[in-house]
Amino acid sequence: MRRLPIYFLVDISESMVGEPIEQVQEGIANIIRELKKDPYSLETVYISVIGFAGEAEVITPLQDIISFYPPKIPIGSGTSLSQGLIKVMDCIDRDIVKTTYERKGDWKPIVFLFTDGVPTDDATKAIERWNNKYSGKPNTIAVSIGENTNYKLLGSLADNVLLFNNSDENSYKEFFKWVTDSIKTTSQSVTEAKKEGINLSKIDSLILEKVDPEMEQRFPDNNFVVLNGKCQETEKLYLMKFKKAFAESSIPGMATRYYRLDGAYKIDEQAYYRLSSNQKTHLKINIEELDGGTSCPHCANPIALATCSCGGIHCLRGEGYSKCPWCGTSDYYGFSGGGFDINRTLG
Amino acid sequence: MEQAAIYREKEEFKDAHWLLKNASAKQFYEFSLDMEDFPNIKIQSIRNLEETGLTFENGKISGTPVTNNIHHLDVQFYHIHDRNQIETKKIQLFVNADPKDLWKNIPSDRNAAFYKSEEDSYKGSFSDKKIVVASKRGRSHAHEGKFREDDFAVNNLPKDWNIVSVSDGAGSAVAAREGSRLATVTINQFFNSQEILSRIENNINWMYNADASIEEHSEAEQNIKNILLESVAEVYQTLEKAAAENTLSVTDLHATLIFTLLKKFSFGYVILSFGVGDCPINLINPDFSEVKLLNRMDVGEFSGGTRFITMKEIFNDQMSSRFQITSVDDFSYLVLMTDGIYDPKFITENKLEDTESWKLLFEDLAGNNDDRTKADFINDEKIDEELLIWSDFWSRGNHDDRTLAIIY
Repeated sequence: MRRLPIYFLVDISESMVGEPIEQVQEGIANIIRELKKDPYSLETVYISVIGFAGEAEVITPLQDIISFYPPKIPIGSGTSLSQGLIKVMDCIDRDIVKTTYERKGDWKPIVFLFTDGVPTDDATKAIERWNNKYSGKPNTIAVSIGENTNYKLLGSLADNVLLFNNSDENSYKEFFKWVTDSIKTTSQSVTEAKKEGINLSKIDSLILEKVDPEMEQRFPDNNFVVLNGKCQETEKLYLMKFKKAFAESSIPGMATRYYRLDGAYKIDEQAYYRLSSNQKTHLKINIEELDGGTSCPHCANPIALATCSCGGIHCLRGEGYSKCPWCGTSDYYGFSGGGFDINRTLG
Repeated sequence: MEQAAIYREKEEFKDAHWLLKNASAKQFYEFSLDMEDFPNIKIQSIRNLEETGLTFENGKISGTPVTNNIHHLDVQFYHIHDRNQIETKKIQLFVNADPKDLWKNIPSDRNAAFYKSEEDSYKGSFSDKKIVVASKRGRSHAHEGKFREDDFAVNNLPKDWNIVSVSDGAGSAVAAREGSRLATVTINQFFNSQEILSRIENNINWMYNADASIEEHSEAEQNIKNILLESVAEVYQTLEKAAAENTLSVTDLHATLIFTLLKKFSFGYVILSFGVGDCPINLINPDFSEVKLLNRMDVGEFSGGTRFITMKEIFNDQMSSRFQITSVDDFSYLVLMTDGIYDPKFITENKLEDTESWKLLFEDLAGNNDDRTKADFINDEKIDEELLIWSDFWSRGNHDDRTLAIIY
């Protein structure tokens, strides 16, 4: 039996924490639910989920729709597109069966690449290997979640580059419906039309637009600031994510940029360390640029953003003597009046 | 136990991601929830489980789900040091459908141009042997109310000649159903001619005349191939003309074509064969110890690599290798089929000349299959109906139109 292998290569860097990753997770569950109702897909589609942050890993190995159960998608630090590409190429080498006189091969695989940011390392070599050996083999669709990706780079490895404007829950739903429909029409056409190309389902331009990879692009500032905190009570990690916003400034017509709290999220610690790059960062953000506070997602301490002299961010019950879960030093914690720099992650 | 620790253990349990095995409708299901990491957590019940047809007992979900669905289950649990506080963990249970239940069978539009029935069959004589043919619309076409693209034609010709032709229309071509019909009808019509058959016969007599020189022999062979070439050229021209008349392009009629022209002579059966595309013609000897493929298969690296009679480029210098002239004393079966049969039953090209694979096919035809359907070649009054029912066999991932012709 011929399989139609679909690879989801998902950016699981820190900026994806919170709603985007939950929506991707939910989205994959919805894709599976819909494909389970479609007899073509149920009989032919095989799915694998590969995540990439600083490192890449196979979250779900290639398996059929019948046995697929949506995975929990982890988060890591960094956006190493090259690690992700290498992983997907290794999987294709290992998984895909080619047609020979004695063997019936698989259908041409499809790779959906989802990313929301610019790679934090150089992907040139991986793209070169991709283009030398894999270009034209799989059908590749790169989906830029938001405008902060490098279209030209994505265009150099994908047949189609699409921009997804993730504004609300409903557009995520519509978007994943589009992915599902694309898979469905492709699995139908393989059985009946004897065509090789992917049949991209009609794109709803409000949610998803086709991008010209050659288009001049100006990269905006980072849309997110992510801080890595540790729970004082449980010593477990969490991420605090802040989203870029603008406020009226005292000078008319000028707006001041700041980052508003998006949320604090628990993360799978083991996966986080496994998937984070070894790259040491000295990225800083001034505390005055951050707006909003929340409680610790692990222990419900009311303050999630306390910082020790060691640079570690952790949660705090309140003013007074407390121990830093990073360096183990006990000290008196009070509220700071002035601005100071704190460590941020690669995002 | 400290309140914070209880809180933490409950949160950890809620966050734990279970990979629940998927259930299948109408099949017994059993899954044990792994509580090893949560010694202080006790599951009280699982809400919404009743609707699935499953029950939860002793840490195990089991039973036989009735229909396919996705179920959102609420696992009601408590901490053993805080028994009064019942909390909820959300999980999903997927119940797969039996794929057979998902396929629709929508009739094709009777008023559409080039209407074709969803199935067709034939039985009759073929020289001093018999023939049965069944052609059935595949599930993929039935699911969308599309047409059967396959076709076949059988004719008893003048001078005791016989012809059977089979064609598989390309699903991507809008009028392929008409292409396959025209291809088979045209080729059979071409040979329905005393004059053409006499020309062929004269050359056959030379070819198999022991007194003929090597040159005469090869000239006779070439003459036959030239006539065969005329026949396929006429098919191409007819399709081209039909396309023009219907303001279509010839590629809209894309169809493969195989045919077998047969006559019994004093020295044995002569079989002329031709093929373009991925449909095989196979000849099995009387004691079933040898199977020969009588045509060249056009199979690509991907399944899109096939060729059609509607492609002008097949009329090149390799064309003569598509014709084959075979002579045998006798045979047990001569079989023509489309890939709707070939893909599920043989899978790969190398199996087409493997007698074991063919024995399996004939055992299958004799009723050795899941559906217990059989085509009886001995008591064959209803063999055409039987073969049609047999050809509806289930095969995961294979739902193309199916046409099978057997001379026996």
